[in-house]
Amino acid sequence: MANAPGTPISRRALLLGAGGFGGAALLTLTGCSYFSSDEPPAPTVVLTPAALDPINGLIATTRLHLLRLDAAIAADQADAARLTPLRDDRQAQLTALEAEFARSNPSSTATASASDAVPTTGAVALPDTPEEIISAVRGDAATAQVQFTDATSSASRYRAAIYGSIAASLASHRAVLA
Amino acid sequence: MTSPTPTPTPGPADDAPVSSIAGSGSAAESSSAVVVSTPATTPPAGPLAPDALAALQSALAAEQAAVWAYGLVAAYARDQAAMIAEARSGHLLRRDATTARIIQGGATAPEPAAAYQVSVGVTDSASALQLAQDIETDAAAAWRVVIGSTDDAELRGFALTGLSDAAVRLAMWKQVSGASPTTIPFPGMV
Repeated sequence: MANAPGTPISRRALLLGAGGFGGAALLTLTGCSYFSSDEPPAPTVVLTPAALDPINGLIATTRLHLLRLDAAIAADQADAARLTPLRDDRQAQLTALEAEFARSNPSSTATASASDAVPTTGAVALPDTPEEIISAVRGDAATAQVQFTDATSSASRYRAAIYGSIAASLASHRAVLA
Repeated sequence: MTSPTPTPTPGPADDAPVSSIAGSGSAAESSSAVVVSTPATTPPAGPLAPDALAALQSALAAEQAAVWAYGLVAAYARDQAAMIAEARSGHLLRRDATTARIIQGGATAPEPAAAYQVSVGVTDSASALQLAQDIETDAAAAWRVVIGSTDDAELRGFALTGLSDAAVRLAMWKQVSGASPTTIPFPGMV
């Protein structure tokens, strides 16, 4: 019930208002809300410096594309001779990236090694026709080239040279598949 | 591969107009051959750091040698005239863009040598194609060094285009030569 302008506020209304405000202020001061529990939930995933290393994304992409290349070679025997050298390049790149990760994160090598964490076999969805498979592999190379190119700009000098070299290799992969 | 002769002298200007080159650089997917635009030609203002300058000057020397050496390749690999012309044009563009960057950076761009000593005796098409691969291997190595010699993201991008173009050309020359594998995992690493 609102009071008209100039009307004195009743004692009852004043007490109700003061009580409501005081309760809200108390909840705010204690960090609680009407809907919260007493304790905040514990995080299930804790970021560590090693997990924050941007090289992890490049390793993951390379591993994924390696799996897809393996599947493409198995599915497209006619192009296996053309794809196998590209697969060998990606394997060498993955090995170098993992070595660089281990070099800069020596204490977390055991937990962050992508070789151990990611299965080496599994169902990989690929198109049906050889032409579409080649197109998919070329698309993977283009995607990875963008990632490594982006990573080159902000990495340390040592890593930038590695990333740039891999990006250039991926450019050549696209060219031989064109 | 291509090293200057002991008494370098300014070479003749090679001003063949070129509008586009084949290479990599852009990661946009295309159904046709990998194509990129002309290298960036707007160097940033300000002096170059000493290590970046030294790397750029080495890259310029590699591009100057490439322009000269492709003339030798062209004399013996006549069946690949179109590829040679395209590759040489790419190196010409990059040579000029690199020269502009060095001058803009307040330094002096070295002049090309009158002639260069090559790693293989070019006597036929096969040896000419081998020289073409050596040219691109040298260029890739030079541009990779530039990437690792600067913290400037824009300069790194410029160098990466040079490295990628060289890697693509190297793969194409290997393909034409019948070499296997045609690609390498780390272009520019020697």
